[in-house]
Amino acid sequence: MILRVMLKNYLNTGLADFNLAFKSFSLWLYLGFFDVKSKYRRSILGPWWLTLSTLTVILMLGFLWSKIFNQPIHEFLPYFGTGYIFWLWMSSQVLEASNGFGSFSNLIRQQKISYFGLILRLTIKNFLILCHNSIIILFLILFLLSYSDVEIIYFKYFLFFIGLGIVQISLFFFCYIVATICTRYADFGQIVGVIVQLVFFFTPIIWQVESIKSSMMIIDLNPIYHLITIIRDPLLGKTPFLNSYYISISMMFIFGFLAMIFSGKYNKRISFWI
Amino acid sequence: MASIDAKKLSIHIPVFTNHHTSIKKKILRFLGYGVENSGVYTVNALNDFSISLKDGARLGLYGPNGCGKSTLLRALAGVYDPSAGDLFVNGKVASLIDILGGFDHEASGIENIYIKCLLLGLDKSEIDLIKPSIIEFAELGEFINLPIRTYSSGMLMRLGFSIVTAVKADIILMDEWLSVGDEKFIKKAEDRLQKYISQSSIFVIASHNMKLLKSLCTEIYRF
Repeated sequence: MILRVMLKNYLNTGLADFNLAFKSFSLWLYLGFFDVKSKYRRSILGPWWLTLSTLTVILMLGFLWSKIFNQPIHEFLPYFGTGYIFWLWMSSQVLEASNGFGSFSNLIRQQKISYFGLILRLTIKNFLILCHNSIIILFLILFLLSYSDVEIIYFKYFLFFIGLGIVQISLFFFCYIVATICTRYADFGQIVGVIVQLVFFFTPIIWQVESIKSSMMIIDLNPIYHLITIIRDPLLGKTPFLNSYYISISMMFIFGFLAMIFSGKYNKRISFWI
Repeated sequence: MASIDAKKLSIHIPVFTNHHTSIKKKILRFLGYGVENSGVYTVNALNDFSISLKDGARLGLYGPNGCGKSTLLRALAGVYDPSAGDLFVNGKVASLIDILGGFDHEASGIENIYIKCLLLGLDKSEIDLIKPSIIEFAELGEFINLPIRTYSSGMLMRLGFSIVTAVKADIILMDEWLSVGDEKFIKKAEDRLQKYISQSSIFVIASHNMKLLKSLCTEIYRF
């Protein structure tokens, strides 16, 4: 009974902070835009510089690994390229969150601020970078469509946007949790860094699911696999398993719930931690 | 109607050492290895502070360094949550504790006007409206289009000051009297600040200059 009242209190406080974040959405949007701009301010190409370097990595490594894995390049390149771009998008959010709220201390120590808003700023920044990179994805899909017999089914592109939404919401809440823990424990960020690196190799981004003949558990138990599948596969003309949707949607709700509890319980203490 | 109500307000600030911010050590302790936790040291920055301020209040906080003036201002700004007691603040708060807070050094003066005003709770159209007057008052000339990392500290303060004093607020919190710019600027800044404060309904200033507080405030709280 006491636990229920406590939970309800935390949830309400968490939701209040969440609402505050979206009430000042234009602030976070501006700051997110600005973060992208300032990162590449001194280069001529601006944010496109990043797109160009991503493209180079994809072309070079795509070529190399298609040889190593003995895969036709017109199949492997779109597979690897799209997966890699989504991975970059997902991992950089988590890695930035692992710096903790300390990097926003000049805002936090000045006035009351929504911590969800700070995460929103980080999310918007990374989403904008993904938007720049989406031009590469567009080319990769056109490449795939012109060299193999994948049919264009509009429903699948619709599925892509649904998947993208689910992943973005899950990551938003996940980043909040990571940022809170990393603010309290300085060395947790390093641990997150190592985990992110490992997950990259454990997730079918370079390699394909079909190449694993036994111990499918490695794949099925990897939550990131399900997240990346529901955005990548529709683009490549495949329909993700319903299972992946179940798992991704459950993750979205679990992270959302946990983030609200975290927010309710720890929000008031963050300014003492930084 | 703005108001501030503090009832037996206390703020305890925990001081973490490396020992406490390590999750590895925490896990080791949990497993029974490693050194015993020495406990987190807390600073009682503010103890049992009570006050009630209504419209028109001009409060001066007087005391030596480290007596809790700034902590109290931060609590009023909503940065620190009460560790004990209650605090109710009604009205739009402008915290002038650090007028450069929120500035981005890679951004131009104009962009920082947007950042700072958005932080102060204005929306885009309102900012467009007051932007020209801010630029005019700051007198930065061509520099307003350059990244603020190229500014001198005096120019930075002038920009921060011009922005903060352009946005109306119900409650103004100030840590020491703001005095910015060169001789010529100080004069007109003084006038602007007086006008800005007179438009607010509650004004709280922390200082250790009794003469200043007496000239500004109707109430003085001694720590």
